[in-house]
Amino acid sequence: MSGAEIISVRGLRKRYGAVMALDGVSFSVTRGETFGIVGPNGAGKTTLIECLVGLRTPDGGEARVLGLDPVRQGRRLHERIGVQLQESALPEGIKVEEALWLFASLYPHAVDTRALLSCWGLEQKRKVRFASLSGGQRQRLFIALALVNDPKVVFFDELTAGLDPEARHASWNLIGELRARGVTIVLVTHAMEEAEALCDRVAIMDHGRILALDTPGRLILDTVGDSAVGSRGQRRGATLEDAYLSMTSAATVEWKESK
Amino acid sequence: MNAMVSLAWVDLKLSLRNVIGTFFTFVFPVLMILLFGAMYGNAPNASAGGPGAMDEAVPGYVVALVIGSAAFMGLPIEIVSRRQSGVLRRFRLTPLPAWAALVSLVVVNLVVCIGATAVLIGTGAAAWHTRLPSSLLLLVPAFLLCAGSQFAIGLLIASALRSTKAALAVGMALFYPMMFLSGGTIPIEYLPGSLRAMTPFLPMSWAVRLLNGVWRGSGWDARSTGVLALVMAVCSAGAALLARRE
Repeated sequence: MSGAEIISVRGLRKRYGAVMALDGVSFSVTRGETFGIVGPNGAGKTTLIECLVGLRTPDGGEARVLGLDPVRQGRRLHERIGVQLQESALPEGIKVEEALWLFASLYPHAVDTRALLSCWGLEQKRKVRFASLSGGQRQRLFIALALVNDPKVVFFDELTAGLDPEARHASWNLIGELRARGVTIVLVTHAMEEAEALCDRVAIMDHGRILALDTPGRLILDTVGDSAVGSRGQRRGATLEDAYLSMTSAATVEWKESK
Repeated sequence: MNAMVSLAWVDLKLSLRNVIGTFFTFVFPVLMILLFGAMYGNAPNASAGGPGAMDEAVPGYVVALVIGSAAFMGLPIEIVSRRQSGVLRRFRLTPLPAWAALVSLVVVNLVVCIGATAVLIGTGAAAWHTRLPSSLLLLVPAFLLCAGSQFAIGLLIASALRSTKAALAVGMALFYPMMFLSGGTIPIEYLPGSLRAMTPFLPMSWAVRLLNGVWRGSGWDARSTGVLALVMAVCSAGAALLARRE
């Protein structure tokens, strides 16, 4: 099954009132790939992830993760995937080591939680309650919890948001390690340099659609060529951020005109 | 199953770690029995061998203070705050079925109520020689029906309301009047007629009546059983329906 489709999405649609959060999204992710999703706020990235992990039921289209329907086969899916989402929390009084112990016991197979604690620099905080953790410490705990079941596919929504530079680099190293072990990774991010450095392919989303989907290198070449004008007017090497900005601002102009 | 037990174990520890909740279920009823015992004593009533004031108080306190604080405050507020903050969302990403997080909280609240009831009975017996329940065989199902029916109301509050503040307001608005008017803390005979006319409409008053009867050995009250079973069925069905709509 090497090179097999781990995630396949066809014509996925989701509407909240008058807003089309997902307006016919299609793509597939193959085994071992690191797949990035970027886009402005409100582009539909989080809704897309929520549909893939079974938190939301799409209005139309089809999503399959590891061949499973995320809504109807949620339990089997959740045994095999790891998820770190925004807007999630733990009970205020739970201690770091209790949370890891609890989550480990919810899965048929779990990794050694002590290794996770030290890997994420949480050993000193073992006995600290969730309510007393800083934003960065909570984020590290959520990443550790997402990995507790040794997942085949991991979804990270804003992996490095709120992390200090050390923890950010630790997260990037982690992505490298996961990749080396053949884990498939879906990474939603606002940090373009992160998407450019880590992802095999990147989807640029806006208004519920995928505007472009390719390797970072080709996305840059196709949209802005190999150089760009810097903020002080100088020529410099083009980045994914340049490609992203040219594409999403074009979409915004189009959208305004059509109104 | 193993996962369910782990979750309930952690929830039990969290529940006991919660200072306010523990005060209301464990400490407050004990303070009340000590305070009112000191005021009224527990001398037998006029009819020889009749129960004393504190004998009467214990089953009422079990329903109105122990079960009531868990059902109308502890349980709904914890559920709503977990939903609001994203704790339930995080649990839904694990292999646990969606209902597991709620079942665990219900079971833990029940266990806490049983513990607090034991402490209350022990304190009453030690301080005022209050009578023990006359039949353990009837006490267990009566206690479960009392707790189950009041918890079902708490679950309905939890599924109807989105914010912790709203759950707190509604919980208190139901809990405090019932605490005083259901016969659990103030004997119904002491209430003026106009207030006494309200008691049949308070679900808690039927729980007080059922547990009182079983405690004193005056038998199992069929009418209370019917009302409480109906309250439990209607409220849990309503809660389940609202939860499904999400």
